[in-house]
Amino acid sequence: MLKMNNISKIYRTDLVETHALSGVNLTIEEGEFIAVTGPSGSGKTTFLNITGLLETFEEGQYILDGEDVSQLQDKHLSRLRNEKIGFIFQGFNLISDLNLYDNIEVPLIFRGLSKQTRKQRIEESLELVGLGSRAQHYPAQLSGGQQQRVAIARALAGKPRFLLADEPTGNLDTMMARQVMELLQEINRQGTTLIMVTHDNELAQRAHRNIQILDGQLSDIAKSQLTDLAV
Amino acid sequence: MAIKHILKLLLKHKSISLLITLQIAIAVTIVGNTSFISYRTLQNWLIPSHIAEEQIINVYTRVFDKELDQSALIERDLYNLRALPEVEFASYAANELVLATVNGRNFAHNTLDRDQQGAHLALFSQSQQGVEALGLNITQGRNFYDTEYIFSDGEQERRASVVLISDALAATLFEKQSALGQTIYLHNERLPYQIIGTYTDMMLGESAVYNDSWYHSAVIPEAHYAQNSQVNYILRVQKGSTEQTLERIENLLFNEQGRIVKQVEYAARAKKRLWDGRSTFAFIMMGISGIAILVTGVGIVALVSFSISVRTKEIGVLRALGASQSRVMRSLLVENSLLAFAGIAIGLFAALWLNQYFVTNLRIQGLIVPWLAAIVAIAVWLLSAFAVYIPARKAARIAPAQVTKTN
Amino acid sequence: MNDLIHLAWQGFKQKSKLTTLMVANLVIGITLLLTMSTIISQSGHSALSHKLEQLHHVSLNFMDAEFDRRHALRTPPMTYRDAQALTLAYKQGDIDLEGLSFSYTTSFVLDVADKSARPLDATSSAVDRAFFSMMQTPFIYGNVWDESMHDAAVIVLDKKANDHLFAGQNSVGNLVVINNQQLAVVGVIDLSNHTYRFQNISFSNRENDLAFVPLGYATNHNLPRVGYMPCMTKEESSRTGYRQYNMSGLKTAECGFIHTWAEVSPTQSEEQLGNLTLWLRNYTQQQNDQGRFTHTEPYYLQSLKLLHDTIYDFMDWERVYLNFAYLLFAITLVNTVGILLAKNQHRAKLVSLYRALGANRAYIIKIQVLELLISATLAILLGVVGAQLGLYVMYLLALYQMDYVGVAEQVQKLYSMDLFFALKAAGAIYLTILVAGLFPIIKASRIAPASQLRG
Repeated sequence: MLKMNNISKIYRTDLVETHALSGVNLTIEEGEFIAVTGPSGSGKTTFLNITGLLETFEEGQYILDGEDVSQLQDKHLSRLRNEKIGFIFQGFNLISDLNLYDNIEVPLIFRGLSKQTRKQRIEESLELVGLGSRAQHYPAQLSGGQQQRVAIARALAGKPRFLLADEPTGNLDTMMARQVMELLQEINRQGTTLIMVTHDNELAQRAHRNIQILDGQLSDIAKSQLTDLAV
Repeated sequence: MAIKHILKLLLKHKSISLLITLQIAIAVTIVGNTSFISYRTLQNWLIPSHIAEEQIINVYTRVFDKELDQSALIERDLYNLRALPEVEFASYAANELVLATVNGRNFAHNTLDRDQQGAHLALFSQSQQGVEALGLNITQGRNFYDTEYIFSDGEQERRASVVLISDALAATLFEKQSALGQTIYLHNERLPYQIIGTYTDMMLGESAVYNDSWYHSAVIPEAHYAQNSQVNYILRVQKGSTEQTLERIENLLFNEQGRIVKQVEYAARAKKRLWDGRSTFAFIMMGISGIAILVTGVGIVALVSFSISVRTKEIGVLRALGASQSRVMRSLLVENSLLAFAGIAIGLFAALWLNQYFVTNLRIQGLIVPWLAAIVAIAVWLLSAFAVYIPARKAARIAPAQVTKTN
Repeated sequence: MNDLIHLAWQGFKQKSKLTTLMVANLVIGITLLLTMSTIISQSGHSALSHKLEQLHHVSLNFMDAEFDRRHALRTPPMTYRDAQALTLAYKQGDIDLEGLSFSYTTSFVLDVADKSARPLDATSSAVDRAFFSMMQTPFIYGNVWDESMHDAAVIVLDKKANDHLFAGQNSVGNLVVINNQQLAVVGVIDLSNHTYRFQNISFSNRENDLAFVPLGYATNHNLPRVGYMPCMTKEESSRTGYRQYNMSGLKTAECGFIHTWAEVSPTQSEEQLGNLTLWLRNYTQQQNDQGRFTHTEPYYLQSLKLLHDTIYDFMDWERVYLNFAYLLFAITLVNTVGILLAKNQHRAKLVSLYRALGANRAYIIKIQVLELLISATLAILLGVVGAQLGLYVMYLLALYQMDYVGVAEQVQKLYSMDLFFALKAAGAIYLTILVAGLFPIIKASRIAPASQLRG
């Protein structure tokens, strides 16, 4: 479903070149639950940005759903983000001035779905995350965990090919974090591919497959190794 | 984003929205009113004169020595003026000068019925060469015969019997009929004059212009002198004459004792004077408008830049959720247009109100011209769109990767 | 306090592009506002501003009952006989005044006998002696004619006429020629400070009188009457004659041409005015028995101030400009608020740091108000300079508009800044800017300590 061949990303400033990613090769199959771990500064965020089509790269090839997205223009990339990827961020990134319904509706409008379809999808996804009764509330009226569930609903409403979660529980307390994680796992069980970037090994353990980034290099590792690496 | 969402966001960001709306409203008030006021002036200003403005000279003199024989003076003056190499024609002018009415308002009547108002006109009472000095182009009928010219002092009631009139005056007085051979009545006494010819329209009379009778004029071969101290001439000089010509004429005329030369000027100067006041007013108004547009434009750039800087993160989220650059641009433009429309609507109402105030309290002319109001509205909207374009383009370039930054 | 100024100064310099934009935009608004309001304010001033309440134009309204005065500047001047009656009453001591002056507007060509200069077309006034002390005009050369010379062939020239005819030399004792008659120059005055021709209540700001001749001489020699001269309907047909040559007819005609000014003492003004009003009322009532003064307003006693206010009413265009200047200033204030908000947005972090480090809200407000004052001061200073330029442009436009008839020096007086007014206006502008700036400043002061510092 997703294939990266030899992708490199270099940040240049006047003084230094930083190889954020170098020669990344990765293949992800339909339905997988992958956790990407690594210490800060390892290239995790860059990997996330590139996978999420938020950032371009210099070298290599990225094939998403059989389509080479390496050289696409902004317009095309925006459409792909909208249709194929569901984002879940550490900071939730809900639009605080819009209520839950409107928040979820935004990407659906981008896609050009009919009003009827939008309504149906919004209700379905809110129901799925257990917030069906709170469509008219504003993000500030919810707890952190609830906000993250709204973000998940927003990601799911678009029926994406995969969910891309960036430290989805980083801003939550343990209790809420567990609930959110269980929700994500449940979604994955129902068939949605899930890519999760985290520095939390405990969370990573829940994934089917673990990938580690160190100095811009990717490697598959066994779950047993995770604890050792936790620093 | 849909209009619905944009509206919600605008309501949330009240102070900025209000400031932008207010600014546009005030700008529309200023520019709308200025346009109304300037429009008529400029409209009149652009009416062509069809006269050789740089070749016709008005000469105003005043005889202060009461012993002086005006008849002899005028003959000497005309002789001397015609002897100047650059002077082509010179004529004594008893009533009007070109675009400078000397003696009151004049009317032409096509009937003796005193209840009829008659048509405003510029009435030129000329001696020989008057037709040539004015540069009349006779299209129908004939010019005066030399024997038809009457030159007499003001006390004698000797009158001419023929008249040349402009096509526009002919059309006003006789509509579709031919004017040739018809009689018109001139002066307060309504004396009859037979029309022997018509000429192409020229803007000749000052008071006629003030009465919107741009091209109404008539020439009679009848020049009275010594009615008062004024002795005036209309001259036609060669093309390319300069200020020195004026000076030469002034010096020549000052050689006569007992007479003062008040002014020697090209018709161009007289024409400029026609619009001095109103055009100055219009210019200042347009200047103020220009400044208002500039300041508003800069203000919108500043305010929108600010409102975007507050929303950098939000825009990043939208980008991540699949908004393309052009979509971000578009929705910012739509957002601003909504504010602009509100501002324009308020501004137009304020402009109407202010216009009303000016017209009733300050004797200002400049009634509302609906299509002009529409143009102002569209222009201000375009201005605001352009002003938004600059910061919006910057906003569209906000990287979607913004959202994954943790600080 | 020093630290406060230091912090404010730093704040002023932050985001220099935005600060420049804000100041530039204020300068534009202030320039326009100061330019237009100066023009309006100058219209209320004249060389006689200090006598606004002392000088009164006196009119006996002999006109038909249907006469429509339209406005104060169209108040009918007095007829010859009414002026005589008032003179008599004044001389007999029936009326107590500081001064009483009669004059009429005339025009003639001034020539010199030896033809050393070209003749000069001079709008002038025929006046009595009292006129000069009332007008307080400085004599450059000579003095006013003696009391005995009220109908003598003498003349007082304005500096401009003297410059033209005598190249600016002391011309006292020289002769000028009017209507083939020789008059001796007795004095030269400088009217350049008199921006308005108040004497005939035309308040023309374009040109003033070039010469003054004794009223007695003017009536005896029939110098023409060229000012506003309303006549009763029955006299209409003879008006041209009354203007040009028929003085004896005019003396008994119901045509007004004599402007009368009464000066009251500042300390006894009410009493003197009451006295004069009483006389005017009695006189018009007496005359009413003979069928005169049938108008509902039989007399007018109008202060110079009232007439000045009337001119203001006539400054339609200037008032339109001023209205627009206010609106434009409003736009620049809106801009200022917007830019301040933007500036504060950019430094919310700094403010929250100050707060975290112990600055209270009042302190933050103080810094920001000071900072705004720095901007406002700079903008006002530049605005005053800009207004000089603006006034110059308006002066050029005014001259362009007046074509030949404007006298440059006189017009320029109306387009120059009055320091006192500029100071007052600057104060008002300061206040306005400050009030407008309060919203963003208070908003900034509400930033919670350290709220902007978290990751």
